[in-house]
Amino acid sequence: MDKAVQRKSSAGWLLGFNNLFVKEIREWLEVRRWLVQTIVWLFIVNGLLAMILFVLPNVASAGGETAIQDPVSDGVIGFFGLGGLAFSIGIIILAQGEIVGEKLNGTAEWVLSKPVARSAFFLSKLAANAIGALVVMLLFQSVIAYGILTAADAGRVTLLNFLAGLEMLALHLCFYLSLTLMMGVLAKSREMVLGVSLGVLLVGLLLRNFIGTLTLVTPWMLPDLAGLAALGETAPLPILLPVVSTAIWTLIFIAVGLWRFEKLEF
Amino acid sequence: MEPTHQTETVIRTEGLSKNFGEIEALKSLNLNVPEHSITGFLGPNGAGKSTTIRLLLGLNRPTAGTGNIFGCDIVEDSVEIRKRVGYLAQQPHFYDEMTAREILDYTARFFFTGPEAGIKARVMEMLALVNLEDKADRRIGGFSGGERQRLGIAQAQINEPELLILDEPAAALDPMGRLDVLHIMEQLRERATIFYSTHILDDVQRVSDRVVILNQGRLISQGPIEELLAGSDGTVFRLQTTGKIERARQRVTNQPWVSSVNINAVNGLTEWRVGVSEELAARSQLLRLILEDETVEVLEFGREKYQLEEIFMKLVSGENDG
Repeated sequence: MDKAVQRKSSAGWLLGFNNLFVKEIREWLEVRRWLVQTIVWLFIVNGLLAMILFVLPNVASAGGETAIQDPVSDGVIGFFGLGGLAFSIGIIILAQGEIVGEKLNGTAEWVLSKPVARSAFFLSKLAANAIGALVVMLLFQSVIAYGILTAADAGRVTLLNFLAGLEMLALHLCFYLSLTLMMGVLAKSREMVLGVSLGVLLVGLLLRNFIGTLTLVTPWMLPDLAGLAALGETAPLPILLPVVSTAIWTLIFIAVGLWRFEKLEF
Repeated sequence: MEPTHQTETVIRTEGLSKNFGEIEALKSLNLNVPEHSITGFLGPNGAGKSTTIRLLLGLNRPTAGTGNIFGCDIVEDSVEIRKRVGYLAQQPHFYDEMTAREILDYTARFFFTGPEAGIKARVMEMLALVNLEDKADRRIGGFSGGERQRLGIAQAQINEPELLILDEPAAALDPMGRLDVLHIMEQLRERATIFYSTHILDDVQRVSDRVVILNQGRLISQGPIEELLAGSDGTVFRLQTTGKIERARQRVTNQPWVSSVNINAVNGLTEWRVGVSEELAARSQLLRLILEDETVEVLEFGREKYQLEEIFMKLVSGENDG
């Protein structure tokens, strides 16, 4: 077998990306990691959905009154609402140390002493965590959720509508991932990254009912809108504006993260 | 700037400076490191050695001045430079959950492409170089400081660099480990230029052919180690003799190329320090002049050399006093 290796002659803003990305995505592919993630989210998100669809209606009927008039509708709203919150908290916790941790423990300095573009370092973290989170958190759980919904009431939630809702939830997840990575570049401690990222998420939950149309330029209504989209119902708010503005915020966070990472000193 | 592959000076800086806020970490450094030299980079803690190394690798940006390696600008062409350089940090940090083999494989893939077998062979070669074959599949989290340092040398060498930059390569090693590192550096002399910072002056004297001394961010000396060790007192020859020396002393003192003769008696021996203005004349005639007297025996003869430690302390304390 020919063992001769060749020196890489490539250059540019993605130099080193493949190697970095493979290392990052391998962490997501570790059996323990994806298994734990799958089980945790299965209990939290699909557990709630199953309870709304199969348990609560029976409990209510036994008492003579039912608080759940439309289990499928409540289940879908619950899945997307809780999923939006829980997956975002999950990605913030998982990604909080991705950049700031490597800055603090010296591994970023080591990697960047090799022929690696700084943009490739940042983008490899973004791409691997986005793919990992979207597949392990969102896709796995959504397949299970759609199966449960179909078992409860086949044909009530169309696949197309469900996918439309999922797209919004995916965007919501990417917003918090890009925010967390950008904060990893800007901040000097994990606590700061965690505080700001979780703060944006939780403050949004509190404020979204009090800031009127301003919510349209935030991602805070997206999980609710995703639920309505999945049900094929008309939203009380224009759906496009929060989607576009969340996408713009996400791109801004990525751009700021890339720009500041180029200027970092080690 | 167009990179050049046939430069005789590998590292060159002009007025290279770095401030961290109000602190001037590096003050207008003019550095020259020739090809295939082993250059010891000396200075007390906080002298600016690691800052200089980080500037050379593009990990920090200069406040003023310029620098180039292989003719490539350290700011504009940093990636091209890093393709041809191997670097070991003062305290090397790797991913603790990875094994030594995985770290070297990961590092190799930044530089090389090609068959898996080729990458694996390169990794094995490096593990053998630093004697870590039996620990290849252990997680780095459990490595001792010395093992980590040896892995650091392996990853720095994996791309067969033309320039090795080592920041305190022997700091965490025991005496045997230190000797191994010096041996590796000597082995690599033919293939690469080595620029390394250290506090261990004995090591510098043993393997380096050039020395750069930095103090408080300022360059205070650089050049061939032989020149530095010869001292700044002019050329002095040292002898140790037995027997009666009066006539020999008279003959030596009368030579026009002799500027001073200092003699001390120590334990029945006579120690001479002869200052000369013409080294060639001294080399060819001094010993003969003394041996003309058959009662005199010469036990030692040679040009006066200082220990690096003496020179270093003299330069650094002189700079601090000044």
